Amino acid sequence: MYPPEFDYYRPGDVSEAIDLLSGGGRVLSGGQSLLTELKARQTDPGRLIDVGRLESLSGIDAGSEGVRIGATTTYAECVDSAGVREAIPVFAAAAEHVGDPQVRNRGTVGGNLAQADPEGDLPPAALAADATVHVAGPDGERTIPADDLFEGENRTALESEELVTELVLPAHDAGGYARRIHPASGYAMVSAAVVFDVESEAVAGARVAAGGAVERPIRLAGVEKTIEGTPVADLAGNGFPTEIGNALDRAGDEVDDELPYGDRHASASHRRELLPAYVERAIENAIDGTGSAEGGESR
Amino acid sequence: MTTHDITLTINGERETATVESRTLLVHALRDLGYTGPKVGCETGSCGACTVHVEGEAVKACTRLAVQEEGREIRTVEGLAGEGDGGGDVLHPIQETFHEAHALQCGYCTPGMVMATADLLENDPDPSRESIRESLKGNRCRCTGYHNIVDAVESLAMDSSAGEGAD
Repeated sequence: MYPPEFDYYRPGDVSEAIDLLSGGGRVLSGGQSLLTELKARQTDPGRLIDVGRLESLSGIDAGSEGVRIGATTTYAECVDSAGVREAIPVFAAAAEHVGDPQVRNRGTVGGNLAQADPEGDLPPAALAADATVHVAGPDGERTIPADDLFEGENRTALESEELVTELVLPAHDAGGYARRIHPASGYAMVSAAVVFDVESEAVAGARVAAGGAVERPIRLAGVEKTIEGTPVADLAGNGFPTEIGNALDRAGDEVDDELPYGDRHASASHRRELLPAYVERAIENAIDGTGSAEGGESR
Repeated sequence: MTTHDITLTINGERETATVESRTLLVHALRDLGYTGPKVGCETGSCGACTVHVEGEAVKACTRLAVQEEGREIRTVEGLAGEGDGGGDVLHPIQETFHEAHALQCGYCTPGMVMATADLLENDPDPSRESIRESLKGNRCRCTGYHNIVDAVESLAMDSSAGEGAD
């Protein structure tokens, strides 16, 4: 399979990249989604603007307050970063599940969020972690909170001539990710990301996001509300307090109000039934600090 | 349609090629005579096209040749030459795959071997679970994976096997 014909540009800096994008085309970073789309002829942009070598867009700056991650930073670089694992464990846990080692060596975090795959691992993690996406465009720079970034399947608040430059994620005390692997694609059929701080030994500032079962990652407000203020010890034992169990059972209802997502392998209703179990696992992973877990066989 | 004159360093040799913008790395390599990397699923799933770019395992069907301009590429052809006997002696990974019956039709083997080399360079003593996880991006439709995992596991236990894999 060959991609359709296109012109390839490799700008020397961000402003040149923006100028080129204003003339049409798509941003090429790691290419791990885009190249496959091109070969399947699902997209025919005519021009590719390769930002993969722009050093200003790459790298990790981790501190105790939070982490800045350049858009072209690879998943592998995030997984290998002690700073990412310590400050924003949910993000490291999700990045660890993307694709396979080869894909993680080239796929980039900015590309992943801009792609907004409903079954992507990073979107729910970025949402739970309260990430802010920094964007450059013809009118200058702006920031988009993760809460406003995802609009639907492969749809974001980004304009076509805008470029993701970096992500800024505040540090959290506990973060966990869990997913059910899609047996055909290896993507996340259902995923959940949980982030909170611990104040007076209780959950504070909880953010819980779900993916896979919806066209775009959404926050599970009901679950967030119920775990907020719960003593961490109550989440660490066997079985959750009844009201939290009930809130988890209702996680599927929260998805129904959104845009349920399914495919020929796993219907939307099947995914919503699975969701509570994965939210529960994500909470457990956040508590025990293991970060992540996966259900299902990969092959 | 635009074309690009690019230079790649492949297994230590400097190679030049004129490629279309859309030419995939795997096709450019094969056109240059490096037919070790195989064209399998072409969707980034099977890993038969796995090569190393600047020391990292990469699927050569999901990269444009022009993206890798100026970079160091290592294909399976370069692996055998790294042992003491030059190109005539198999690399320990290849030898072990042979001994452990880790291949049948052999189509996935170049990619499997290159993924294994990358794994052992990063983690010389991986667990069985870690081996399976690390070879997740490489499909084999013959062996059922058991012998492949066995081969890599025996390499992991043999501390000398990591040598020569960089």
